[in-house]
Amino acid sequence: MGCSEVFSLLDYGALEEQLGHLEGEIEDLKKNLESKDITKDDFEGKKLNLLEEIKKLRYEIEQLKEQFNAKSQEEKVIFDELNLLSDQFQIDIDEYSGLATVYLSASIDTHFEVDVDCSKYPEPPYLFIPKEIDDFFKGNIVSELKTLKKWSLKKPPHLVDIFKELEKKLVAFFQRDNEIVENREKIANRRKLIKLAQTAEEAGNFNEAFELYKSVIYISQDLKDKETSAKYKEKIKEIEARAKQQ
Amino acid sequence: MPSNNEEIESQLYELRALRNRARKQRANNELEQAKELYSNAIDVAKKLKSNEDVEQIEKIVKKIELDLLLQRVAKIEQNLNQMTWAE
Repeated sequence: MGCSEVFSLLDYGALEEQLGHLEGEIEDLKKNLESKDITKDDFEGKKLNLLEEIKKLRYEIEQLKEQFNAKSQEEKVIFDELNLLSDQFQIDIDEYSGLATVYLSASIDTHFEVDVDCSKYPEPPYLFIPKEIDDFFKGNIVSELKTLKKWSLKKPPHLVDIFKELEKKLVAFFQRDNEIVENREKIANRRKLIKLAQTAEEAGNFNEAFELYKSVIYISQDLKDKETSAKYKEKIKEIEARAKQQ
Repeated sequence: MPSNNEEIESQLYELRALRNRARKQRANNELEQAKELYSNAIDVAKKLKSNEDVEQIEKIVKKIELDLLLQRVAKIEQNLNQMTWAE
């Protein structure tokens, strides 16, 4: 039996009528209470009855609503795909409409929201690509996604595969930003090591200073910063000489 | 019946966009607005002769209608609970 058959107008109409009736009764009770046209016992009794009727009505509406929550086989497949997607990405799902918003991070500071309509899965989903992504890729990034290009209705890929590929492309595009952030952390770390090395040197702890300056050189080499690397190589020679003099 | 592929594509996009906007409004508990958008989406789906879409969206609209009834129920319950006898 289809849902539209289950949800007969009679069911909905009857519930709405009951609700309208209750609204009227509560309005009348309020008027009676304000004009003192009701005794305390009558008021309390009526209130209790109405609360009971409200409870019953709510249950009936929820029961009817529950009938819509039963999923068809197709909806179950979509629901499973969305669940799989939610295991790897942060998403907002509307399981009954087959639409979702997927949150992607291209770098620490760059995030995107991509809406997806997979209500026709196993047909290929439709991606609502935000304009900024389209602008970055000077055209339609969707046409570059191999997962979508090679879509097979017989053996459809998982939705999550599309987003993994999309995220990979975005991360590659924003690689420079990622590197800058990574380098920023390395530079901050190097600064700390230089301070520690200088303190050790001033205290005459040449071994410690030597090791710390060596770390500074490694970080500089990693950053391809030849100038700083050369500067601290000289510093190490200087420390070795001072250590020998001691 | 849409006259050409371009028109179908455009209507399909409109249908997806309407459903997507409606979904977000529903998630924000803006039920009346969501219902309105879903109703518009049904009109587009009918133009596309997509019975499957019509049926799917009608199901969502009916759930929204029931949620609206539940909101009214919550409101009268609150009103009733606030009524107290005063000497």
